[in-house]
Amino acid sequence: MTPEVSPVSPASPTEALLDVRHVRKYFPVNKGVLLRRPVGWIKAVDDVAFSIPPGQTFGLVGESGCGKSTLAKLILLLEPLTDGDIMFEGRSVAQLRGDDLKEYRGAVGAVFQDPFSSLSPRMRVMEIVGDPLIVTTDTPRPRIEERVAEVLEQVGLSPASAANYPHEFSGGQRQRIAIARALSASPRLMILDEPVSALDASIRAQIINLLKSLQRELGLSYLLIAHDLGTVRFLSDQVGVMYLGQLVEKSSSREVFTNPLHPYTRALLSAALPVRPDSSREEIVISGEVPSPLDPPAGCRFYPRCPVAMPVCETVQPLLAQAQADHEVACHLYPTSQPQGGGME
Amino acid sequence: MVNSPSRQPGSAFDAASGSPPATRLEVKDLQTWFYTRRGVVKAVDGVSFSLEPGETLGLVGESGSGKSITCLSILRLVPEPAGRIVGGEVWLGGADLLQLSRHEMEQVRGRQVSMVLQDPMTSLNPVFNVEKQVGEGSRYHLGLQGTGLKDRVQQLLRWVRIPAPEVRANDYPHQMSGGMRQRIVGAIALSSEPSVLIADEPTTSLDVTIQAQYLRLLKDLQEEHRFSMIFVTHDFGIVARVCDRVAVMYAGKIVELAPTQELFSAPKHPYAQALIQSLPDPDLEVEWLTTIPGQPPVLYDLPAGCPFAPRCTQAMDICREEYPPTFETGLEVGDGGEKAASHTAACWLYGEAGS
Repeated sequence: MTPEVSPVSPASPTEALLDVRHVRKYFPVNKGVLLRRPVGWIKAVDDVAFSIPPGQTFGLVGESGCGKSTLAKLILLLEPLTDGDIMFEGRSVAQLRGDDLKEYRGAVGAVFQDPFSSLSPRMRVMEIVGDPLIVTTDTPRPRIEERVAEVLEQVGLSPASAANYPHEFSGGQRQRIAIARALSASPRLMILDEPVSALDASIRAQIINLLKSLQRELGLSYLLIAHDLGTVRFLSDQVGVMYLGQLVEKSSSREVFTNPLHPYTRALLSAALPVRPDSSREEIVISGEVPSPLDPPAGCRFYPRCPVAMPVCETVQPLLAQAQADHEVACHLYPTSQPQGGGME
Repeated sequence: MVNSPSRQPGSAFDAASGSPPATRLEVKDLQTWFYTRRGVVKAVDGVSFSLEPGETLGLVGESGSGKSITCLSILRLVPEPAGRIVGGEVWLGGADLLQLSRHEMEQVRGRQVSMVLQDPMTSLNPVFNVEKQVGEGSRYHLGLQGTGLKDRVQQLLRWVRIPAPEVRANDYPHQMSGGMRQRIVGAIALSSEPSVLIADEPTTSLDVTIQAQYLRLLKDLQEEHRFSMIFVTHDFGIVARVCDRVAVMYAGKIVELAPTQELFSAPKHPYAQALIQSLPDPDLEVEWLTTIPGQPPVLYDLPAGCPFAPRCTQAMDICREEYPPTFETGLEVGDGGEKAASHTAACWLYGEAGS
């Protein structure tokens, strides 16, 4: 599945293209009118670590408010980090300045959920798709036009559509334009934040297939954020499950879907509706709702909703650790999650 | 339940209702068109189906396929003057709803047929508390007030599993979570115990685990209160979990109508076949997804004949000339030899031309 050596990435194939190291993002909650003082913190992302090798896809799943999109913003440098580090090709992105920063912004493309709001209605496709090149490189005008025609063709649109405005296209075609824009500056990493959930069912499969074939052709790495588990399974090599700002499980896509270890992952998989009525999946309906990230439970954050909670879960936070080969989970059901790294036996 | 000096909520309802809520809904050749600058948009064009008492019928289709407008037409809430119901009949309890006077229709809405909309944030009024909004229907349709109304509201909140209803009744919508808000909307819809509940994508704005809770609640409520349900969705997973029968819509028409199991195991219309095949299944590992070529149709500029023909891999000459009638594609007889369930498709493959 992984291309042997990615042609575009200067990083060696063993080294991760993107390495997210114990990243935290806390948003202050202020009170008062004149003297606004922080009264608490929303821990949107709380000690999250994962890495993406060149040419691979890391899928992030979790419910709204779990911090997936904040994580994407941190990687895109749209929000400063509170703590931790994000390494891209071995360099800390927070330290990048000047031309290095420009180069990084070109190396990371993004595709967002809604192609109706992510494309400016006043810009022609040419300007939209060429914009990353203008912003991040000194490419001369004629070369930009060539490049726009090239990427439009790559995403299955006619180069002639460069002269049109977004409203002249259907939802699926607009998402192709958004993908073309993300591709134009020849990125190595693409952040895909719910890339198909706003699209009609009959064109979703087209776009999902397009993303996969682009990855193979260009050796791109993807960070895929999606709530549709079918899409995640189809596109991802590795999958991380987030709950209230933390990763609770991380493994290969096949492992997470066939051998989920965390009770939340199990509930999430079961709550995801079956594609067919005869699919033999047990139905676990967990009670309650996601607690506020302003005041998360002290021990395991999933404890109040967990169907198999134990007394220890209320007070001790489980650690994300390898419970089985290449399969990490943060849950007291597995002795590896005990703090101090000690086993129970 | 607390006894109040006024009439009991239950008895008030029984006296006012007259007929038991076991009513069949029948929609015949419904046509709702929109008159726009760009031309006439036939949003709903000749839709027919029936809804048996206690049954759940799924209406699936992409955006613009006419599923929501079909529902709004049943309640006669089509945005006028652009939209107009230009033809058809909607039979419920011996009356054609499309022929009722404005006043008579007000007795149907919320009373016999009620609706749960997609986004509870916009379907609840932020400036009124829960009690006021949940109680409105009972006050209007059942004539309840004072303690009787208070009791009724708390009963409704208990029905939809709101914890501590005596406290929650005084809350405002912003004080509740998304899942709880949608349950409040459910309580409003149930407040005069309708015989038909129309749920228009009620879980789209909810998270998956909350969606699972809400679907479970709707099924439980349906068992307890025995209403029939039209469930509008674009999600085949929801269809698989909650619907008895499914109508698949494309460009304003029902292209296939079948029992849920049948639709998934043996879809007949090429659109339904392609759509079901294109779903990425979290239980399967595949190399590539099956795709449907082309783009969804533009409603004010539909091709002659079948609107799916330009995207259909099995299209024949006749498909581009004439819209197919609805063909019966094979009767399913249940295990005990009970009533045969019909499976229909509007496709020339099943007519004389195809065979």
